[in-house]
Amino acid sequence: MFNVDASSSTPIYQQIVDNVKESILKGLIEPGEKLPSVRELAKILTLNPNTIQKAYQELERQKVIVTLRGKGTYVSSDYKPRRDEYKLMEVKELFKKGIIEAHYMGFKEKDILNIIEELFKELEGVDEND
Amino acid sequence: MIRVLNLDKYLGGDKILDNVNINVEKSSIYGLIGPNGAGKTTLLKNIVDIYRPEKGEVLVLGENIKDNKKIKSQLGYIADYQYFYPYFKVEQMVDFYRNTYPLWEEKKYIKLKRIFKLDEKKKISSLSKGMKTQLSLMLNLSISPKVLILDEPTSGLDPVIKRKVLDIIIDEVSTNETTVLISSHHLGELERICDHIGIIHEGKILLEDSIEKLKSNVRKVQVAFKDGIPEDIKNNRDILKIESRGRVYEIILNDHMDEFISQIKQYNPILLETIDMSLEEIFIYKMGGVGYVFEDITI
Repeated sequence: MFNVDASSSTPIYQQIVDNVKESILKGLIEPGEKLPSVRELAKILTLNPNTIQKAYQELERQKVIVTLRGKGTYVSSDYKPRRDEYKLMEVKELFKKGIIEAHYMGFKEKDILNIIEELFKELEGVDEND
Repeated sequence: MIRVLNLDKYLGGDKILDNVNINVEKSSIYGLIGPNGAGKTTLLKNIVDIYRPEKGEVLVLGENIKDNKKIKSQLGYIADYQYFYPYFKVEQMVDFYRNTYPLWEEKKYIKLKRIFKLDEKKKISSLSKGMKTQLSLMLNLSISPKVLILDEPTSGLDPVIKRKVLDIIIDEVSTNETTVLISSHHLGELERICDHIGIIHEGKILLEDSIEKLKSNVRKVQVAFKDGIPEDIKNNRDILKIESRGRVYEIILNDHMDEFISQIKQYNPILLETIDMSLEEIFIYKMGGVGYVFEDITI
C-alpha cells in the first residue's frame, strides 16, 4: 500500500505521512477507515516501529487520523482533503514541462506568455460558442 | 538501556577499543557500523561480558554487566560465529537453554519453531552456518530478552530467511519494547530498521546520531555557475568533498546545509540541486574523511 524509499533524504516518517495523505486524497483509504497498527505496518514495510509511531503521531497532530484507545487508528471522518492543492501541483508540473520544451525551441518568456494568452482566447472562444 | 562508558580494551598487546562511549535507548534499534577490523565484535563481546575491559564500564538495564546473572538472564546475544556443543542434538541445546534461563517462554519457542522449521532431531554439527544462526535466534528470543545484541545476524542467510529474521526483530521491538544493538555491513538493511547509528573506526566511535539527523546533515549538492565557482563557496569549511565535471561541481557537505544553499544563491547559480544520499554513501564519505578510502584499483 505504501512505498518507502529508505535511501531518500526525506525522513522515512515524513514519507509515511505523505503516503497516508496521498492515499486518502486518491480515495484508497476512506475517512473512518481503520489503518494498520504500528506493529503491523512496521512488519509490512520492514521498518523501525518507532518510525511508524512518529509518523502516526504527526498525522494525529495534523488531525488526519485519530487513535481510539484499545480499538486502533482510524482516518478522521471529518478530514477534508485539500484536493485542489494536490491537483495544482500536477498542473504546475505540466506547465513546467511545456515551458522547458518551448525554451529549447528558442522561445523566450514573452513568447510563451503570448502562447498562453492565445490559448486562453481560443478556449474562451469555445466557451462562448457553447 | 545500554551504556558503554570510556571503555578501553587490549587484545594481544594491541589497543582494540579506545575510549568508547555509546548510548542505546530503550526499545530503539541501534546499528553499529564500521570497516572490517574496526572493533565491532570486540565491543559487542565487552557488552555481553565475554571480554572484560581494561578501563571503563558497561551498563545494561542500568546495572554493571560484570558477573551480573540477573541482567544476563534477560540479555540475548547472537554471536558472529555460533559455538554450540557440536555433538548435541538441537533438542538438547533447547533443553539446555530451557533449564538455564529462568524466563524461558515455551509458547514463544513453539511459535518460532513453526516459523523457522528447524528439525529438532538433527545434530548441531550437521547444521549449516545459516541454520545455526537461526537456532541461535530461536533460543535467544525465547528467553524473553529485554536487550538483544546481534553480531552480523543476516550474513550467510538466504533472502527469504533474512527477511524473516528482520521481521522477527521488528516484531520483538514493537511487541516487547526490546532494545536492540545490531552490527552489520548491510547498510541498506540497517537504514530501514534502525533509528540510531554509531560508526566505529580503529577502535574509536566516529559519530553517533539518529539516522534522520545524519541524513539531513550530510548531503550532496550539484551546482554550476556561469563564470566558474566563487572562492568562498569552494573554501566553505563544511565541505567533505568537492569534484568538478566540466562546469558542474558536485559538493558533499558535512553540516549547515541551509546556510550553504543561501550562500550559493547569492551568486545566481545556473544549476542548483540537492541530491539524496544513502547511508552507504554517507558511510563511504565519512570514512574517506578519516583516511579510509578506496584506492582506484586496476589489476
